[in-house]
Amino acid sequence: MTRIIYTIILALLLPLCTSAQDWLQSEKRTSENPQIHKQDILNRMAQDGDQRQRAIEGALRTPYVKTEYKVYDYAGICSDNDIETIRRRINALIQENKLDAAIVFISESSWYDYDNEDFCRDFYDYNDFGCGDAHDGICFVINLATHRFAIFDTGVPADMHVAGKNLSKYEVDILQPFFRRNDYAGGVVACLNEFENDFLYERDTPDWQRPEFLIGFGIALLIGLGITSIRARRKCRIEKAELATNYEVPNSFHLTIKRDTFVSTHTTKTYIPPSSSSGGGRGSSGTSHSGGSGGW
Amino acid sequence: MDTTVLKCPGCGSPLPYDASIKKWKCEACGSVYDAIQVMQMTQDSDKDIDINKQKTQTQPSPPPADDYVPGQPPIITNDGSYEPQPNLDLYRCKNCGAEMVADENTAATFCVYCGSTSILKSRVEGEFRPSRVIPFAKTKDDAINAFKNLMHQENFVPNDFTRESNIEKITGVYIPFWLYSGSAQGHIRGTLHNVTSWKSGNYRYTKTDIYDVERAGDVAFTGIPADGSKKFDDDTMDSIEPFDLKGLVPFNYAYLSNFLAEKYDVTAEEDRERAAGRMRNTISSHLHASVNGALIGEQQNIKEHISAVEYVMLPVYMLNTFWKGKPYIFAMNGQTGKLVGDVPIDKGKWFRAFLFASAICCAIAYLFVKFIIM
Repeated sequence: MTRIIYTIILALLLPLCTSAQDWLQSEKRTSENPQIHKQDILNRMAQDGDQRQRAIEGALRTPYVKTEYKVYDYAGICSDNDIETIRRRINALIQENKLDAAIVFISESSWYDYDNEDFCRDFYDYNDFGCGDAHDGICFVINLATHRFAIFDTGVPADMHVAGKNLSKYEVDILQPFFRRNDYAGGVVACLNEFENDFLYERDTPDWQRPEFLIGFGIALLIGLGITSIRARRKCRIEKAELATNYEVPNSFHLTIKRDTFVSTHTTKTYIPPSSSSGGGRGSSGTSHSGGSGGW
Repeated sequence: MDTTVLKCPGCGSPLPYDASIKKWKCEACGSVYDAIQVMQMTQDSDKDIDINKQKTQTQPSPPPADDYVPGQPPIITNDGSYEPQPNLDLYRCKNCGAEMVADENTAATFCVYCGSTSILKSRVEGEFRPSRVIPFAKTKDDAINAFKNLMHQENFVPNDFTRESNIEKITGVYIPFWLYSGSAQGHIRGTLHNVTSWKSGNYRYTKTDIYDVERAGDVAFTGIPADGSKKFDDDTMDSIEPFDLKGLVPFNYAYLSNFLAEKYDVTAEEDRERAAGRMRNTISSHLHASVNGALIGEQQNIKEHISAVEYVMLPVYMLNTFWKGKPYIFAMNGQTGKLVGDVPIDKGKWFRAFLFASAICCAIAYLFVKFIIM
């Protein structure tokens, strides 16, 4: 009977301990212990003094989270069902293709003095996200206050510039339509699906089958044809004379009428949608990423 | 018909015009004569002309073998059929007495036996006497060198073309030209859209100002050339322009010595439209150049007026050659040295160059796509 009572008490205390651990973890980041588990970041911190300082500052500005949650809704926009849907999709991504993902919803015009892009990179880098040695994965930050988002991938996808190359497609074809009808979970899941497809395409398609190369080779052939045609162009060709400027009496041309009468004017105004910025670069940790930011 | 050969008063040898020194130089005794001396000689020779002419008319049907006329062989094409013959005249060389054949438009030709130039004076007299001539300023050697340089400058020239083209056949010819002088007047009117664009914030603004534009003007021309010979391709003669008309001197048939010459067989009236069209195009070009943009719904009224026509002879070096059964024509302005012509392309060389250029471009494209785009 006593054992049963102890077991019940322990069962009641366990969630409390877990919560306490979470609380302790979120509070534990200090300059002496920045809670970085990624070995490559630690290596860089050990070798380079400036890099070490930037990484510690970056880590201290970044919230420390439990990586298995995958979805961090600081904006309070998602239902439990939404969060579960996204988590299931991320778990499938991890199991099938060894790609991790972190989804962060915020609703602040500034977040720890970050812009979306820096925050997105650092959030992924200073928490223990990623699969494999290169921490393969992707991080979304969706800022509800500014209607801007950032997407950055890391590891093998970053080496293949998957997010960087396809950012416009994600923005225009997927995220904007979903987000504009406030379906944030749907947008994120659809974007993860597309990211997975793009990753598989980049990983499995040989160069010569890619449209970029086929178009490049086609343009190269056209340029080769142009160069050869220009070289074959004859310098002393026979051409019919159309003008007689060589036989004009000098200064004999006179303009007797030169009249420009103003008739009307009109001005048109065209809206230019804000463009997404794609690229890559490194976060304060020094890890390579590809991706960028956009809006809806 | 009257033929004459310009002879050296010192030794009696033919006296050709030397373009390099712009004088007449006897190749036998080395005597040199200027234009005044030669004009005096040509006036004297007019009093002592040996005329010996036979003129025969071509039969309209193919001539049988026993109708052969000495000096007038029938023209048989590659497929064995007869071609209509031009009117041919038989002349006797004043220098060596040999018989020569020339068509009805030839004004000066070479004797195939002694090489001297026989000038058919009747072809440069009366209505066929040019008022002025531009003497050759370039020699045959200049023309040969220009041709060789052109072959070096052009790409994909067949290796055997220069050899087979037989460039020694380059010949200096005085070609009959009509020089047209006059003026052109034009009036154009249309609508001009002047578009400016700028960006402000998230908007692009495009402003269109609409103007009613009107221009009128006139321009005068002097000496627009148009060749008066059907033998020479009009576009080829256009292409060797311009001629510097300041080089025109009063005609004397002594200038024809050492060159071939033709008389016109296209009248000034028949050639008129070529010069008139160039006048109209020129005034139109001037008027449009004064408009800052392209006119919409343009109305044009352009006229020309030709006030004077002059018959002259202008110097041209010609080379007609065949390569792989196809004719290629080269012409060089005998005054300025401008050379034009059709240069064949070696398709094998062209294709190899295309493959080479494409391979390099493909390699660059691969690296660009691989490391820049991807």
